[in-house]
Amino acid sequence: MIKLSEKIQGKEINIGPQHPALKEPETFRIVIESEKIVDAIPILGHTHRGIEKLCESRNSDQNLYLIERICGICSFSHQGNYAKGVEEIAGIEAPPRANYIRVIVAELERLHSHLLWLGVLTHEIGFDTFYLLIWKDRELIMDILETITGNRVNYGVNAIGGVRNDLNEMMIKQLFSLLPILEQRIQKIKKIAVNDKTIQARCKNVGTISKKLAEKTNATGPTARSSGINWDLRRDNPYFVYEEIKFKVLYDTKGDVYSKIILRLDELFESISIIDQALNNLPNGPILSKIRGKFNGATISRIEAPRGEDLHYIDFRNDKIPYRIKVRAPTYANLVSSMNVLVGHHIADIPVIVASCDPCFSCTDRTLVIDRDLDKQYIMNSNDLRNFAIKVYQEDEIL
Amino acid sequence: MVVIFRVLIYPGIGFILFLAFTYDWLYRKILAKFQLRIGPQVAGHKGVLQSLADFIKTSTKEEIIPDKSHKVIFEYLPIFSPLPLLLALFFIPINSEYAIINNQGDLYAILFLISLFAAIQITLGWASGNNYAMIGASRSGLQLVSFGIPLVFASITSVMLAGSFSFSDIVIYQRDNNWVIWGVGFLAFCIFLITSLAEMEKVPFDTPEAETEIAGGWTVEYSGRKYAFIILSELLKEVLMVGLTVTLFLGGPTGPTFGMDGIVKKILFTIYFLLKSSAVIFILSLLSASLARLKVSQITEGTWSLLTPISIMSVILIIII
Repeated sequence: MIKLSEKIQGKEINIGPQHPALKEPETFRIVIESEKIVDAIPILGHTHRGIEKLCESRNSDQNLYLIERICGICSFSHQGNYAKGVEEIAGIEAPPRANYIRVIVAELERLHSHLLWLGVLTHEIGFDTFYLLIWKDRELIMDILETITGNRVNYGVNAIGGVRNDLNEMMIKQLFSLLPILEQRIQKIKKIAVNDKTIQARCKNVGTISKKLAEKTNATGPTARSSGINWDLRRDNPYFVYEEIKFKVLYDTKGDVYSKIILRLDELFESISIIDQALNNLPNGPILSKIRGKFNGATISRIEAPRGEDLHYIDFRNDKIPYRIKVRAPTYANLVSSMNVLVGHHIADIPVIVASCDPCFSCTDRTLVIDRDLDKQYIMNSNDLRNFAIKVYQEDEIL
Repeated sequence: MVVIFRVLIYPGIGFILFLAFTYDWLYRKILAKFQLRIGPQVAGHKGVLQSLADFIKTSTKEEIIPDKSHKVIFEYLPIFSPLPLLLALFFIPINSEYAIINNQGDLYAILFLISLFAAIQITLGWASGNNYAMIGASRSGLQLVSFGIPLVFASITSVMLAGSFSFSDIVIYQRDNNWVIWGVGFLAFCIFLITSLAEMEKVPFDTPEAETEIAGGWTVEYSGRKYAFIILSELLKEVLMVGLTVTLFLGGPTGPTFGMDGIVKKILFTIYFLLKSSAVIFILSLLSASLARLKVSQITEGTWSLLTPISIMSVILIIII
């Protein structure tokens, strides 16, 4: 049950569900004393779309395109993760060329996602010029993604057992010519981010997540790496063909918003180098190993999405249709750490800190129970859940 | 008859409103160029009527009065909010060395009217009974206090050089000698530009409205006609601050007259005024485009520990010279 602590006095403001700082509906109940934040509670669940339940009524191929729509930005990660999981259950492997293409699209996605994030962050601090500058460069990546896959978002590039589209000579040539331009543009963006005094004034020493807190709250991805956790699934639990590609896992120890900016920009150079290597080593051969029929088995499939670790639990019980699919998007893991550092900051820092973990609330919103009392653990069965819902609606505490 | 024409049409209310809508268009267009956008382009030639269109469209929208608001203030104060600024603009010489109103205490009056408008802002924010608006109003008050002293000291520079508080005297002094900006007044000019940005509530000092933080600040609850008047008062403030900069530092509307007199001279002076204010708007939008919004604590710290001492120093500099 969500309740404000009784001791806390002060004005209460709601950031969201509709607020200019938030790109997706989500509520942050903030208690303030003049400009200082005393308490912050996130209320998730405004965009629960029932995708997991819908998955249980479609076959494995149809689910590819449904799961892709969990998130518009990291659509490839969700789809690729699902395809990887089903391939694991079926015991087949995608052909090498397919895996290389997956790596290329995944890294292009990381490029455009990180640039989008930086644009949003600079918009939150009121630096609209920089934001539009970044988004203009992001268009280059969107265009190349459209050339490769046919779509700007929701690429639909994966199939179970490989990929749907092949890369032809023209596409490879275009990609090769794009990479140096991108590198140059990102250098320019990094130069501005490093030198601009107002960005530093707004982002340095703001929202500092310590390593301990990041570990405790299970932060993932760039959020965790900026706090000093040297963990990247691409290196530590390689999938697709990441084990054949050389790249550095970057991490920082400061943990504030500014270090996240620099870390993400540095990751982009690694991504460009990964794409370059993948294009150079692209093997010939088929792109799809066909698989039909029923699957049996369950797996937990993980992937390093741009925002962090994306986790899918996939369960088939001798059927074409999955018995259960559970998705944990990276934002769910990262938001907790961001919420923990809000207290003590100013109102002006709320959008910066919330945006710093690259939140994607619509990806995150599934059925969930928030229990602030961490000592008490219990399992709710369906009857309990039903009673809980009735009680909540009667008391009208959340709505 | 002439007086009525001067007050109502040129260079009075009609011309001032024209300036308000045109300057806003210019500001938006220049800002858009810096931000790789196109800016307004639909209403009129290259969108020149966009601000007017916004004003008319907004005033036809539905008005919502929140339950928690103070009804009388919420209902009527927005309509009066442009008045102090309109009155203040009568003090700005636009088409000759002499404004519609000119006396010996012009600067006092202007500073009073600017503070009065800030008080109106705070009252409007408080009257809407919204937490965002309250925060915005308190930030607005904080900015008034923080930027008041630099504003006064920066404008005092011209007064000290011209030896008079009257804008006409300041303009005539600059016509006969150099503009204040060339020489010792340059520092004061820079300070005045920064304070103008703060008075106009533009980035980096747009904390009272801060869209991504407090969703519009003190204006958040106002809609329809009331919001249209608030927009108008903000546009007028833009004209006032630009006009003040031109008057105090750029020689007002004066310039070469080629021996002309009468109406031709007035038209020439108006053109000079427009050119000079366009230059000021260009600098302001460049500043606004190249900076991020600062926090309230950073603004107060910056003004008290940096801007105020510098402005005092610039005054001392002028006394010595």
